[in-house]
Amino acid sequence: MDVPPDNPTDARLSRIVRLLSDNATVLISGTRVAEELGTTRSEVWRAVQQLRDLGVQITGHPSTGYQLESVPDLLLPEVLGPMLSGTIFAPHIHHYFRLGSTNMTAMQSAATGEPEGAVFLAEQQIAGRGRGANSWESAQSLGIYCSVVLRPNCSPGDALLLSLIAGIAVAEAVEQTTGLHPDLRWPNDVLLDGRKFCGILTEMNAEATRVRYVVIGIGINVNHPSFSGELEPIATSLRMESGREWSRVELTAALLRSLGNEYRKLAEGGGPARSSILQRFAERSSFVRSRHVHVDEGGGYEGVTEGLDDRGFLLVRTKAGLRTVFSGMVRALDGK
Amino acid sequence: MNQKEIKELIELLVEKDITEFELERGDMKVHVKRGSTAAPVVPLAPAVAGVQPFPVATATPTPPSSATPQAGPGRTSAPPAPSPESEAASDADLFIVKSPIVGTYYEAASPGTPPFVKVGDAVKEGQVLGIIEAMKLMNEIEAEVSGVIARMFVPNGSPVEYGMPLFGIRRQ
Repeated sequence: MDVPPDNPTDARLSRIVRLLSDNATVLISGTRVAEELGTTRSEVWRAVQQLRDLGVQITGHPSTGYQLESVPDLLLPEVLGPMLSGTIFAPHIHHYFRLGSTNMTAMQSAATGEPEGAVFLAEQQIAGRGRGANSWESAQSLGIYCSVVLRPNCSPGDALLLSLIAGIAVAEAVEQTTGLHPDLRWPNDVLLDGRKFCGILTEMNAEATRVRYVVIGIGINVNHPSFSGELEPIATSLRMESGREWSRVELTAALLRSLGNEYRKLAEGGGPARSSILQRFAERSSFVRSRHVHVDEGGGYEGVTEGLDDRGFLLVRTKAGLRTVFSGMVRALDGK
Repeated sequence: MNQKEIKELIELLVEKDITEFELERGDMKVHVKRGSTAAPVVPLAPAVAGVQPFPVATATPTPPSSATPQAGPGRTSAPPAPSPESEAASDADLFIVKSPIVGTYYEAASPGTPPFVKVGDAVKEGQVLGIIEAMKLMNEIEAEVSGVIARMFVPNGSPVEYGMPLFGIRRQ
């Protein structure tokens, strides 16, 4: 049976790309690559063929040496690691060319002891997960499909704020990298021009008073040229909003730096950190106040948003009084 | 063919958009048919099939199927009919699994998939019993002890408070 290759990327592939990227203008002999990797020339040839199959453009052959035609925008540990130095995410980056779901793999790894800060990245997901039964179809190397393992030392209730900081981190990273100004739809859809380009799904394993681990999964549409069908009116990508392609490597690095920063503040900060998160979320989100929305919870209802409570839940003024949104999807009824 | 292989087979059929498949091997026969009624297999299909060439995600098209059906009361086996006093009396020695957060209780990983557990199931410590969702954070509720599920206190899709009893486990 044709089982999807859910194996992590062979570290040698990542090192070859790094080596060729560092020497982008010259041919590197097969012998030198083999020496650097501590392997044989024929193994190098096989690895180069594998990289070509995966879409990396490498010219040359064993007798001439190898050269990258262009530096590939792949989220390889050897490339990302140095850009994340000083963050909790630098030491444990796991890259897959093709994976069922980064969240599922991250949850399974966390259950068997994967440390805090581990990052799981896939060029392509074939069973990306969203909330409930929603799928997140993830085309190869057009988007960012990233899950991180965290082990916060806090109560499960406080860990809910991770859902909000993930959205804030995406918005910050996109703003820094592209200059675009995303909106946040509570709790953490990230929108441009009213359309969603980033979805976040957080999964937690906790006891009554203690969090064992949390996995935050982030999917970002980066270089998708268009969407069709039922997604067309509701989905967008950074490319579609800005008219140009963006480096996924730069964006991923910015995202993880921003997320690491937010997480550190939350972990260190206590009460003030919590209110700072709620305040910054409110500043970045048009949905926190005065939006006419439909809430898909408790049978469905409409109302006008009236801020966040101190736990981060959205408050909605309805005809029947003020209601608290715990988990429902919120949809705008007043335009974008 | 074990459950994992069947699951992989179904995923492959969905991925390749194959609607019907039959396999005979020795005394075993597998017949999978995907179609409008094959709910358990389809969840992935609408988004994948409907969308080309670079489908992405979706959050929005599916919510009706994700949130509504589950939220609707009575769709699934609500907690078992509370049984006579004799049972209630013996509840005292049950291990009670409580909700660690405020949120919405789900008995299955996603709509259309079977519940994690039902009354009478033997469970092992660490086994996932259900999910509480709040702020798009899915909290896996684990059995803190091994035993048999004696009570399920909360119907699928209903709101739960912090500390609310979710399951009663009879230790063995």
